[in-house]
Amino acid sequence: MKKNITVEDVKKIAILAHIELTDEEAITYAKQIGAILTYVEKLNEVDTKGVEFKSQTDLKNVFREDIPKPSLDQKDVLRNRLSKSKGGSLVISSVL
Amino acid sequence: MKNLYELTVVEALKLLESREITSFELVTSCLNRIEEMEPTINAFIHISKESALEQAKAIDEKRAKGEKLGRLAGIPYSLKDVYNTKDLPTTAGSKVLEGYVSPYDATVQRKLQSKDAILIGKTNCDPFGFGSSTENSAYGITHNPIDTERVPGGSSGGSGAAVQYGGGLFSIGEDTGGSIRCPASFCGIVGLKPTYGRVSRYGSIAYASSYDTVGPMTKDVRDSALILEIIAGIDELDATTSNDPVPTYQSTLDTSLKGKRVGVVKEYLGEGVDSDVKDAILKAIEVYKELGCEIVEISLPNTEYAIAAYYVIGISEASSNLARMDGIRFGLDVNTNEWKEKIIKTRGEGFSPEEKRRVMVGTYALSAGYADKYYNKAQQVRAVLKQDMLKAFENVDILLTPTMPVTAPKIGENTDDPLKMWLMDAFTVTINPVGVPALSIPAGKDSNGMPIGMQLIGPHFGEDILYNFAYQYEQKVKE
Repeated sequence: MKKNITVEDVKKIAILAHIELTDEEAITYAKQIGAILTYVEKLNEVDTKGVEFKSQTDLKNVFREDIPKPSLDQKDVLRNRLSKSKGGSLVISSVL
Repeated sequence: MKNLYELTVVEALKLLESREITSFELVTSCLNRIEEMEPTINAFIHISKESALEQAKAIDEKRAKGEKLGRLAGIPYSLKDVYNTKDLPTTAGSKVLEGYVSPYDATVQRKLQSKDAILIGKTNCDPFGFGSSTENSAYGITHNPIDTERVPGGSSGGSGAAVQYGGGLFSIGEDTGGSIRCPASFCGIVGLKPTYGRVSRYGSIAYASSYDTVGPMTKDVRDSALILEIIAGIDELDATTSNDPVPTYQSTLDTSLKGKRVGVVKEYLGEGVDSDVKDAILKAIEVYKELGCEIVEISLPNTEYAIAAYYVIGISEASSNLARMDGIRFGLDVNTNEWKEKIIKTRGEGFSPEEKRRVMVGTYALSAGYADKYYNKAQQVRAVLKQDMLKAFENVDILLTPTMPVTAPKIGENTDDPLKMWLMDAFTVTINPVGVPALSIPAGKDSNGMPIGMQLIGPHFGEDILYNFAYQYEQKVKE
């Protein structure tokens, strides 16, 4: 079954994905995403009744003792935005 | 005598230990080779010339004093630029991480450094591993050193090209759906995608967390076995690593293959496979017969659905993993004061078309009302694929397939048609959802002289089996 994705659909997805798109980009992606979704529709042909994926290998329930250890240095972590950090915190524009 | 950059790791270690060469000479040879090749190949995003030479000198001095050295002392290597390396830039091939300097080392880097190996540089790749050609990188296209008009494969294309031409003696790639095996195939080298959980992913920038694997790219099978012995094993920083003991893979390379069973997957030699590639695989089958193996035809009946399942899950996980690329803490810094605008613009400017496409399709596949139809259905198909694979291994020791249905395409040949590019990965993407290991090794050349790769697939944690089969083949065709 052919899956139609409109330019409006793409713009809506872009909002959900937090990506700025030009109108031109939206037109290209509408065509491409439509083709991709049409292709993956074929998954419906597989009988998966009662089947559940659990894990790749048989590894499960990995536990460890909760012992505090030194973590990364605050200065190191902030150095990619040094000009925007203050007193060990990152300063961003107000959200509300 | 070979140029030093042409040596394998095992050969170089012998010469270093017998003091016939110094690490400084070896590193210098690789750096000169890089200088010679990079203007046409562009395999590297970052080259650590000074620190590599300094480290080499320090190791030579320690060796001269008779101090104890690590198992890879003085060997230059490269890392795909998805591995965090303290105090060095890490871009993942994406503009969105431009300027990012990591505050920590990935586990694989820490392990190699603890064995006194020398990081020579960080290699180019499709952004976040999104691609099979290294044409999508924000840091330029990488060319295939064997024919510079062709792609090196991807996404670890820089690593493939660097190992092929001698820019370091080995590289660590990252494989989510063939990103180690495809460039290994196109560049004529050996590339291992290990079992999921065999090598720690800590510090590897995530593409699809349930597929991602860390593996060696080397000139031959023995080098691959040696490097895996060093990088494999449990890591408390990656809860998905296995505590199964790491075998000494080199010790079983010589085991006889008499009476072993090789499964040939009939669906992987059908339509769409180049005749030269098919011929090469048929020849390899004859080699295994000569080695005393029994050949068994195997069917993986749901192969046709594997690509679709792979992509739905892979890009869903990618869209989630890439949510952190928001420009707030690191990477591309778009100048605007409004917080939401900053995120949207950072991603609009920082992501390439392939990144945008995958994040958007993944977002769609996970969105309310569609998650059952796409993501959950794909996970169920994944369970069916795993059943098929485990069933195959009840009858055979390994599976033998082409790595890629084609040899390296020309640059620009497939870039306009993303779906066609995705379909090229049919034999590699089917492996990651089920988590088994797979190895690509050279198996001859096509009529244009481009390398053909053959893929050996083993059961979970069966890397020792893969290396045994690969080494026996490699030695036999050398005769």
